[in-house]
Amino acid sequence: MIPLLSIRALRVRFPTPAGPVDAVNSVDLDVFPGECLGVVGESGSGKSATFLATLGLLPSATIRTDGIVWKGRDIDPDALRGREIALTLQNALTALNPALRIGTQIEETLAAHGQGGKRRDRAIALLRRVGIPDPTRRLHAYPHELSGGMRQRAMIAVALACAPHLLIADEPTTALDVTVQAQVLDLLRALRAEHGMSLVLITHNLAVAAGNCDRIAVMYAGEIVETGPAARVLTAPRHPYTIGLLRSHPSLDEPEAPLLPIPGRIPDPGAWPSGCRFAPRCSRHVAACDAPQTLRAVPDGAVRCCQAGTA
Amino acid sequence: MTLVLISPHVQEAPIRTAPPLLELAHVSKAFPARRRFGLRRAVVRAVDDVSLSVGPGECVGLIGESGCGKTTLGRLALRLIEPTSGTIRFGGADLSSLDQDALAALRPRMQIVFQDPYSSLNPRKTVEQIVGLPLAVHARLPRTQRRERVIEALDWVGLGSGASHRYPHQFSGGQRQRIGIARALITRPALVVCDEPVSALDVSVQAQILALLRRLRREFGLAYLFISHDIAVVAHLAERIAVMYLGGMVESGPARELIAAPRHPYTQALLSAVPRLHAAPATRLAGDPPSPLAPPSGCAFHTRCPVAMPICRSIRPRLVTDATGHEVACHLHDPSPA
Repeated sequence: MIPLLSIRALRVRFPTPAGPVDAVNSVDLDVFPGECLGVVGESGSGKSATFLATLGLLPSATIRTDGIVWKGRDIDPDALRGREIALTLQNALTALNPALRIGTQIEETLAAHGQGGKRRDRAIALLRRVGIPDPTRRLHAYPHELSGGMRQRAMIAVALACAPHLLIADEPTTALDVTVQAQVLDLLRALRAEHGMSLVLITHNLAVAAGNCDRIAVMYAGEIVETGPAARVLTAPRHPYTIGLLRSHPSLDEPEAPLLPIPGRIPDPGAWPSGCRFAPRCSRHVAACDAPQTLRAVPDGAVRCCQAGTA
Repeated sequence: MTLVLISPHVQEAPIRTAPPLLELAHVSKAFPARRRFGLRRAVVRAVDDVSLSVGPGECVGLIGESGCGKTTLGRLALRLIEPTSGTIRFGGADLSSLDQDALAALRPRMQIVFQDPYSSLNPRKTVEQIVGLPLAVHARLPRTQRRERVIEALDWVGLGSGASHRYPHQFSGGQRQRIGIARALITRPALVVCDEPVSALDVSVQAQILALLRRLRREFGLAYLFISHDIAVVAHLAERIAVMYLGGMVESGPARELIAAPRHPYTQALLSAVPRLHAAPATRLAGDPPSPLAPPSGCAFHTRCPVAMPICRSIRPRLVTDATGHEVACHLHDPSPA
């Protein structure tokens, strides 16, 4: 199958007062038609920067790649953004314009992409589709008048305005209460089933990825450390970081199971170790870990660890 | 002061015999809320007739969604804010009847760890000043002794003495939370209110702090009132769990039982909404929680409840307790409805 989106050797470098910092290092990712790819990692792992860079939304950063390909052709982010690829952000209150009514923001998106006709009717239909009650009235609401869950829905409505083929949802449920989080995840799942849309779900929560994604890519310190089918990554993780992350996760299914935290913490960007970036925290550290690791293909996935598959 | 003796290993004690360390009885807190344009005065019943107790060395988890009143309840428990009605007893003493001096004498025994490791530490003070402040306030120790105690407290939380002369901005979020915990523990409290202590942290750091809180509890026989929206985190630490919805307590009971067999429809919905690593998603609640400014009549949950009955719209269910101490406020579980 031809990927919808292919990212090859993406590198993102941010200028900082202390000198340039490499936030993303040589990321390769494919998103296939109709699939949900979960991109999982902790703060500073580069998961958001990867996709913001892909969409051309990091004007201050230096971005180098060996190619970003959309449906078999080199990408022009400006032409695709909002039309074929849409993005929702974690904090809907800052992502939406506080001074514009919800309806205006949806119609604005439709107009920006040259969609004429009854934009108001289309906006109402979109609000209804994302589960906002009384959409005709909500059209006139400002973002601050909506609850957190409703704002996230409104932002999804804006993102869906042009029926994108790929929706990139950056931490769509992190700021939400658990019952509302479940509703928003249900909505994303339903939208994907309806439109055959692909979804990239960026999240720090493995359990959120578990229930929603077909494949998972785990990022650590600006690199992908493991990819594979979601079920395999969660039940038979290969990278020591993925294993550590799963053992750090309190589970309602086994609330009394002891947590086994990963010692230490993520190094600061720009102070990455020269070899394997996880090596200083890894319990299986050997001499070979001091050399940089490559992402190796393994059966059902890929892993960036010299020992994976050997133990 | 008759403070209860604390045994270090009370992990499995569903039925308590010791008198509670902290006891809240029918506590309510209403905040005035001015309606738009200041025309009509309204009150938010942030906490409405809640009773809760924490035994010595016990960890009680308090869960609920934003706006349910769990943080307000935590503040009330320490009398950081005054209740509108109800009584709060700590180690047998009625906090609301104590004068400032008597209350100040009790304060070292009850401490709090805050959610935000950034805003809860004064950026202009060194770690030594921050962690030592409770001692300066409560114990009036000379500086050299205070310094020793600070270094000891930093050691408890896994920070070296080198940390004491640095400033909060030089630490990561997880390390800052360790500083906050050291500050809470330096007075050797019996009770620590932990208000979302790991919510701002990444998963791997969160696991480190949870392990630390567990170890400190065992070492010092601490009791925790552990407030969190993250049910899996609470289930991991607490022996008993209390569930709040719109200011009211809807259910409380032994943690294992409440997680395995929740009785209140809200608890059931809350648990089924938690994303799981190895289970399919289950039933869903519709809608958002109602505004605390205008809570529904009768049972506050009836507007979203999948099994609501006519009685739920008019009569507020009372808390019914069974033999194991499992309480639930739901007409479905009340053998003699009013």
